[in-house]
Amino acid sequence: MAKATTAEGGDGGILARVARCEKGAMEECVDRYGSLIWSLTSRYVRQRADAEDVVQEIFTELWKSADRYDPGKSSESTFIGLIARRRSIDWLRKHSRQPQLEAIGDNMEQPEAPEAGARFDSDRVEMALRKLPEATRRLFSLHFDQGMTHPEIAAETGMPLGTVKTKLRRGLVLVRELMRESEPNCVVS
Amino acid sequence: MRDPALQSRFDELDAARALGDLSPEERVELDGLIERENFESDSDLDWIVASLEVSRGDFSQPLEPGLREKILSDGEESGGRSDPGEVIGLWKHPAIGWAAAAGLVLAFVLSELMVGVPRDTLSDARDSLIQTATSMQLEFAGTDDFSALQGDVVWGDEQQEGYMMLSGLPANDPEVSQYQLWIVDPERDSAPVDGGVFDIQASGGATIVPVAAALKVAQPVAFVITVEKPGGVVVSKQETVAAVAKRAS
Repeated sequence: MAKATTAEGGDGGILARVARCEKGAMEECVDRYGSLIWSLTSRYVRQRADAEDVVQEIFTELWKSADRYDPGKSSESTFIGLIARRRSIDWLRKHSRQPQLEAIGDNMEQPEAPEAGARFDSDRVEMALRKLPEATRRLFSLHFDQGMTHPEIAAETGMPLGTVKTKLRRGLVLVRELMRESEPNCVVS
Repeated sequence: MRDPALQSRFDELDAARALGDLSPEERVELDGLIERENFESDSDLDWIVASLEVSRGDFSQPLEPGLREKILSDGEESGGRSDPGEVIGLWKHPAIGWAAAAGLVLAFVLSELMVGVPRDTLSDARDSLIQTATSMQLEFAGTDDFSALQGDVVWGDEQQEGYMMLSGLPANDPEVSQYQLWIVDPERDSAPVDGGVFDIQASGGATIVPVAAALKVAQPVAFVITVEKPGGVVVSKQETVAAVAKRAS
């Protein structure tokens, strides 16, 4: 499966340049992360015209939030992925008349682990994920690798939809706990 | 020490929030736990999900043709890091938007849909509503710190449509606070219905704001504007009431 050209390790400090309003930084940011944002948004927002609107909103949010990016917390692509997911899910909720997620902002300010490297580096997340039961790992794989919705996972695995949801939710909580346990000073946020 | 069962339930709901699969009923339950039990949502869950999504997904689809230029054009027009929504001057942040009047969760977020709607269009819609026989028009009165406010609200029960025209309301910083409209309708419930969150920009002049009632309103007796945290609230503590428009009794 093709991976994003913006995969971990490929980040280049573009957000800091956007935050400083450096000439050409926005263009470079769009070129580097456009595929990531478009592809991620399209997973949630299926209509092309709607997806275009959401992608434009995401970049608007990105221009505003670039100065909040903290390399000690995540890669640039994860930071951008967080914004893109929230915006896309907000859009979905609005159009199903459900309440939206809270806006990004202060929620992104969390205490940092006092070790080198990003707290939410994908290797660390994957390391914790590997400790989950195999059945739960498969659900994560179907959801995140193959982009399946929960009903699609239920159909694929034969599990009741409620079970799929519960296993993913509890799995995510467990990943968080495992990551915290692995942190030297066990940062609790 | 919290009840472990309650903590476990909160963790599960918070994970569902991060995964984006909260049902409306679960959203109410989660908000209740946050409000009553002082739980706090954990953004670590969002970061983990984002990390998984970005590192594992297939993100090779290129931007749609022409979209790159639109994005850059928007960015240039907004001066880089400022929000075009502020320039447009209508509702920048969508309402969280579900009514306090019922446990039912129906976020009818008109706000984002209205971003970019020309003022003339809103003005025409407002004028058209005024012309209908069944609509009402109530004057707003600003409270102490908002005494410069002038304006009114036009509301049509049949149409379930309304517009505020406001001037003299201080500009807000949407990162700090937002205005929220509440519709008092004792026929429906003792709790007011959320009428939407909106912003006022600094340029002055009259602003037309569409009412985004989250639930059907039967016979409103008052419209109240409060100042709330960004995104609005489900239940207003009414710590800062900016203005009230009351129907004559």
